[in-house]
Amino acid sequence: MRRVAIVATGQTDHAKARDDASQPELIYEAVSRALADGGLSPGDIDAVVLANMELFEGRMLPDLWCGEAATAFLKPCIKIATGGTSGTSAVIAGFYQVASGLFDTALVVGWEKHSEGHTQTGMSMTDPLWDRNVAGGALNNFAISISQYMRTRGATREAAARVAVKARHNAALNPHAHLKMPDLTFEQAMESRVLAEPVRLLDMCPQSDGACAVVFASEGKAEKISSRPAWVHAAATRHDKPYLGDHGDRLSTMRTLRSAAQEVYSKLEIREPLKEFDVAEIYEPVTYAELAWYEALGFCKEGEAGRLIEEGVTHLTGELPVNPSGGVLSTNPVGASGVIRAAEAALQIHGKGGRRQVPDCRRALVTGYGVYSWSDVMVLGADRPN
Amino acid sequence: MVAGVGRTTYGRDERSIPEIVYEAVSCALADARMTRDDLDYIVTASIDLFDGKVASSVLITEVIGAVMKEEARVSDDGAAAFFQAAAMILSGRKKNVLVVAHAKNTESNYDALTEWSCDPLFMQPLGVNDPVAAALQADLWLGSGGQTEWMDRVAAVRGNVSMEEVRISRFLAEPLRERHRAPVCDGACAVVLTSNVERRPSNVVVTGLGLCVESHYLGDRDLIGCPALKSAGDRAFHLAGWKQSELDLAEISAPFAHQEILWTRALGLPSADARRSTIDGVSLNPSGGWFAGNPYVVAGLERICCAAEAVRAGRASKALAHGCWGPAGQGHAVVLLEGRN
Repeated sequence: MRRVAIVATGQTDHAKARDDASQPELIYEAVSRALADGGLSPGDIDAVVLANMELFEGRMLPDLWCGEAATAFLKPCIKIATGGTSGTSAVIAGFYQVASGLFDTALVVGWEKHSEGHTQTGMSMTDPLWDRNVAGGALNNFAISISQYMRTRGATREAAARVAVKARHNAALNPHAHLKMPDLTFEQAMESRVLAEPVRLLDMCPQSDGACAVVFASEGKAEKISSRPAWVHAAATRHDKPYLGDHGDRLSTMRTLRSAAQEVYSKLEIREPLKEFDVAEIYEPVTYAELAWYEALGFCKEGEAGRLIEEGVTHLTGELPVNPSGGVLSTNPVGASGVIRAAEAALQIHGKGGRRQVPDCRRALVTGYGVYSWSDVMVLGADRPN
Repeated sequence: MVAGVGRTTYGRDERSIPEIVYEAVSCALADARMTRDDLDYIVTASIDLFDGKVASSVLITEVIGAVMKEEARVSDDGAAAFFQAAAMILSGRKKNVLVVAHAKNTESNYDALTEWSCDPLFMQPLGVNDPVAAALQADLWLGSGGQTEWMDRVAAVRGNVSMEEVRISRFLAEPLRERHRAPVCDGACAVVLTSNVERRPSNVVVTGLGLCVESHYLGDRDLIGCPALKSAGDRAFHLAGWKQSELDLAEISAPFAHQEILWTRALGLPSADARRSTIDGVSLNPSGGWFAGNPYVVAGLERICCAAEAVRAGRASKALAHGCWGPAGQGHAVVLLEGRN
């Protein structure tokens, strides 16, 4: 089977509002950086896969308006839109397009310009018969599931605050990140304004304007473009039921993430993910989710997530740095966020992490999260897969 | 290899989206003699703005068998979703992939919504939407040798009405009249693809694939030459190793009558004359094409279904199926199917 790697990445300088750039211009910024990263020109890209949740900006078929900014002139170009997992879904779709043999290279670009729409209105457009009456957007969903998670797993506000601080300190080392807060203190995170009990302001991800691009290449070509291609070793996806009421104890159970991770670990014979990965870029829209993901991904036993963050295991200098980029907690243009996870994992393997570089990074875990517990899991590695 | 197809009856449907999708998927799985357990992946096609719902494929996860399984949603025409599904099978990593497309055009104002697919800075303020873009294209075509009578005839034959009824219908956007466009409706369509080319009873093999998108700004485009369609077609024929003259059947997505003429020419097919359903051995849109009543987003996948059924029934041995999306057909996908015994 054809082996495929991420050979180049590029992203915009993410911000609350990029009034200086239109949606195509944001894409162009990320894409030109990715092409420069790989020493590539537009003609080197065979196919384009875009990721964007156009409802949030009040658009339709934005891939047709913005595609040319992603080199998609007289080329194959499709768009994936699967909520928060749009970026990781698109990355996986781009991988398959090159793995198919139809194309030798593919460019995957995710973007969002939240400042141009009203995202939470979009988020509240859930099933009109049952869910819409209780829809309160992302915040509401999390407030409910976090309350359950704290009760069943003993997760504490303190652990969540530590996640908030780690994320924004890491972001300060990332030139592209939106919320860079190098001086954020634990006390500030603990006392930030309550949004919806128990979720506080600094527990939540921002809404950002931004774009991110990755370039896939097939074996034979990948080695010519990058001296250390980030090979795709495995990928798995799980979607779940349509109604909010069917997702009891979402964060504690997280059956989609567990199942997808299990499939990937099984395939790669990974038994101790904490030891066997060098870095993890996981999709954590809220601090408590990062704790829940530690447990669902097998980094620790149930109820131990707090210990992991307290002991610094997932800090940049710890055994398994989680989200050295600052994560979704620091930067969240929805359509791009999943692509950013893959890009940040890939650039760690490429050795291009700058001040957030994890030394000797050879194997990375990438996850995506969205909608009602949808999960994507992918593993990238410096070694060519078998 | 196409293992099975299924669809709802297209028209105005009072049922919910999950209900119509369930019907299409159950038919396709039954036709393929598979259950949801046999599926490795599901690729869906739908658009949030049409469905009035965020991440709208969440509505259908149960009825497409995607709970605790792999799914991705393509927000273009169903033919684009088919393309992605075929790529996954070609990668060798997936065996059975379900493709599903759905839309309820009667529950939304399609014309208004397509305005939001146009560049908001330069095109949208001019009031450009799908019918307007198609009308500008038709106008250019008429100015370069096209005849109103030809598109009237396509509209009459495909839409099963008289030429007179076409000519007296209200203007939609001059020179296009109401009868020059396909009726909007509701529905869902599903196709099961499998890597197992020995599988019986179906013998429909996918031999060619092409997908291509043009420039967005109408002023930058060759609206008559349709380069994206030409490119997609060339790519598909090249992969299959076929020439256009080998085709028996072409199922082409043309939401506006003049486009059937433009698209057949761009694909290098014998020039179509809708009075005769077969031209130089190529049967063109025996299903009626889009004018038989297909929803946007579903239409391209429906063409693939029609072509697959014709090949399976022995009515054609080499068939072309086509889908398009965007103003005046900015994006196109071409699929070539062959019967193998």
